[in-house]
Amino acid sequence: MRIFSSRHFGIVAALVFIAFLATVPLWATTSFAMSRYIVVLAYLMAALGLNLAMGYAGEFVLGHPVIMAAAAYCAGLLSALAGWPFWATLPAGVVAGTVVGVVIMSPGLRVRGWYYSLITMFAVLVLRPVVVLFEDWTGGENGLTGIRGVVFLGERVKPWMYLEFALICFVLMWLAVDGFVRSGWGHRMRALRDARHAAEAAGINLAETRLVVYVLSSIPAALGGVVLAYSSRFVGADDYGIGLMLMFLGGLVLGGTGTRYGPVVGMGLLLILSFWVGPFSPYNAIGVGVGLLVCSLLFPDGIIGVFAGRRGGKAGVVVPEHLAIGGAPVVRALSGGDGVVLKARGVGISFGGNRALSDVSLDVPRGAVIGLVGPNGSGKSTFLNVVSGFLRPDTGVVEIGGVNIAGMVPHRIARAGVQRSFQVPQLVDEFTAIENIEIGLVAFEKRAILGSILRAPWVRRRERARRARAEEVFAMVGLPEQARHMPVAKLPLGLKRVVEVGRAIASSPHLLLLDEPAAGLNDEERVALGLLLRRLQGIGITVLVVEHNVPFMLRFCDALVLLEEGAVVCTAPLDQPLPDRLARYLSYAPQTGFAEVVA
Amino acid sequence: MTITALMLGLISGLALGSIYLLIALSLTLVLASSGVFNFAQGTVVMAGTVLSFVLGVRMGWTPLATVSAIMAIGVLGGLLTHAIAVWPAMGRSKAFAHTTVLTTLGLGTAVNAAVALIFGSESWRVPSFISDNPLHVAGIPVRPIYLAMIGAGLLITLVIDRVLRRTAMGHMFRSTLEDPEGAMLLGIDVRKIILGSFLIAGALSGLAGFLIAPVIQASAFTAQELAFLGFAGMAIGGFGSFGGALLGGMISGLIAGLAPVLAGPTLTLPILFVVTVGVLLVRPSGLLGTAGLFGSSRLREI
Repeated sequence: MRIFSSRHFGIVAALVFIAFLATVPLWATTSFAMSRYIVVLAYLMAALGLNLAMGYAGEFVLGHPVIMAAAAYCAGLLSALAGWPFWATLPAGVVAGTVVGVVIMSPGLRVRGWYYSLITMFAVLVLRPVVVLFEDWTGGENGLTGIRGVVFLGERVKPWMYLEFALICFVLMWLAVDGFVRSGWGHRMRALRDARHAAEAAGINLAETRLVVYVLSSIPAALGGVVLAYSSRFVGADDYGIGLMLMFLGGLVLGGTGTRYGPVVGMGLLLILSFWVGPFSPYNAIGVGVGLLVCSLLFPDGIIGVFAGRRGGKAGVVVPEHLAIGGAPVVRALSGGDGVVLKARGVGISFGGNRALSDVSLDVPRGAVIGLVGPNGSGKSTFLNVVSGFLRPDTGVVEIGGVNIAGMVPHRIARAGVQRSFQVPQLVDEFTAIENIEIGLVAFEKRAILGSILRAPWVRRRERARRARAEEVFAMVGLPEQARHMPVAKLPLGLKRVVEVGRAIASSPHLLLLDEPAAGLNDEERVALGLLLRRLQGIGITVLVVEHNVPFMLRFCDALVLLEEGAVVCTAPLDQPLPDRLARYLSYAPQTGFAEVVA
Repeated sequence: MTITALMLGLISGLALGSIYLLIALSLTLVLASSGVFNFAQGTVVMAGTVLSFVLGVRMGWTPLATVSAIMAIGVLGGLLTHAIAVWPAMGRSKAFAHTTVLTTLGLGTAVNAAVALIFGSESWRVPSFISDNPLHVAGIPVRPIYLAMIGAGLLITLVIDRVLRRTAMGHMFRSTLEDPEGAMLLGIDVRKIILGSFLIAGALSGLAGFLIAPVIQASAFTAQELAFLGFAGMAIGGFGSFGGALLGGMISGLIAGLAPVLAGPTLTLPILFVVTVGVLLVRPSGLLGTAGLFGSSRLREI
């Protein structure tokens, strides 16, 4: 089965598939037979759009039949009632479909999970009553008729020409989606899907990414809708119902969501079934239903996943204790702040009646490794969440380089030079370490949506530069060579944490926040991580680390800050004798027994 | 529009609401105990309407025998849903909710189509199991079936409320619904409770189908719409909350009853859709739902 995993096999198969569709007019004698293939192409386009939103961006939207219908009705109405020519109704229909698509998907900016998918599915159910409501225009239950034929260069376009046109549309959409997915936007979308907090913390604007996805996911479906309207020269609401939505969903799950060939393979199978039993047979729905049930239980990665297999590599790599020194990145100059990177004054926050932070004031000098210690519930993680913007403080000021960031959203704070890691590593599992590190860089690039779709030369240059920088960071954090081509899902926990640190430092932040980075690591991994922190200091990245492991903190920090009940008790440099309170806390801390092991 | 028309709309709204709250309650039971949004629930309701026709009309069974058989088949449906679409997905903690949405949707879709294949694609009128002569209440002609629906809705609500509040089984159920992990620590066999919730939800959905059949006709193509009416009720009222299911089910019923009178029958679904989306946008956890339940909270996963 290895042949299936080869890139070339996929491309060759795709070319054969396209060639097959291109030669349909040679043997499909009736225009009815050809129109069935146009339906296939329109559905495939919609499935490509759905794959972008659901597969890559993880937005579980199911409203694509409505997008197709909106585009079809708009183009059809402009043709039938206003007499617009095809070249004018086509873009109008695509725009209308896209607008409707963005509107029905926009609740996703606030409502999450499958409630969201239910809302978009509900929209499909509402389509028919809305069409009936405007039956004076739409023709209601009888459907919209009177769409004029396509005229090109003064001549009526023949069915075979229209089929080739639909094929060109499909191929262009496929290439566009593919180009977009391979660009930095592919990183953003997958981060949105698999590690959305990490994406925000890396400076990615989630709302913006979602909106871009909504627009780009709608366009292929809308184009499919217009193509369909002109093929049958009829638009009926019943053609765009729950059944079609289930077919798209089933096709995608069957083929493999978030893959290049999945939607085409899965939809292809369902369409072959539909050719066999006829488009209106209940056996179609049985096929879709059984396909959904079986595939989501047995083959969660779809048919493509079964054949392609995972990207290779062995698990169980060990972090070398002494990390290889790589090229030092350029540290961006921090203008204000007088040598103090993070300055907090009187930071307080309450959850309900529970005062998590009452009055935290501390200075983190540039280039230091500062440890934040304290008992459970003392507010350490809460403070990190405030500094990184995941929580909005009720009172107080948090300055990064002299700029108050309290109340700013996480992605803005990240772009201001604050990066963080998470207690549970938040990574894109299917990505390699290098690709995960790149997630820390994409937010600092220009959007370049069109350039990404078209794979413009300058976008490719940018990608190469990003890759080179990620390689540099990969070497710098000392990740083992074996981890280079392996999806991070297969890495041990210790390495996942290092990958997270790599992602966080890739953009050379001023301040790095680490939330319990040593939890769950063995001694060797812990030492490697500590050495990495010291090396960050060497290149001018300031570190604020929350950790319960006392030996780790004593060995690798410059100073410790003791937090109790939401307030700073004392701040102590570690090159001087410890203040009583801190000494007492540390000796009572449960991990003291391990001190000898590490020291 | 007359007062009579409005009152008629109100009464039919209360009647429909009594049924929608049964569907919403079924969805909530399953969702709260297991985290599964059971798309196949609408299929059981649809099967209830179809069986009302097949058993009650074609085969001439008595209403009592019909409703008993339908509820038994509903229980069986719940059992099969659990066995086919839910149990195999257990243990995949991360993707469980996602996977079960797909599996129950797939199962529902396949069974709906199979019913259409066996039963045919026609819709059949199911005569009321009680007299269809309107009762005149304060000069307003009321279909007795509406009163029966309202009565049944009230009765079920009271019974469930009693069982949940007063019995030992009810306490176990409630602890599981509120906090499955905590319940597990208390030694409650959560898997049994989950299975139980599927069985009870199946019976309630079957009953809902039997009760609503005289109003909506028996057809193999109503499953998704019925599931969505229940979903709208659950979403408006609050995900995973019992009071929410009752409130939301009633609100969506009233919309379904009054919208045809006030705005026209085609507007029922669009209005319900707008209300549902509106409520979710303002309060993503619904009117009575708890914020943070089922992953809507922001910081939970950090």
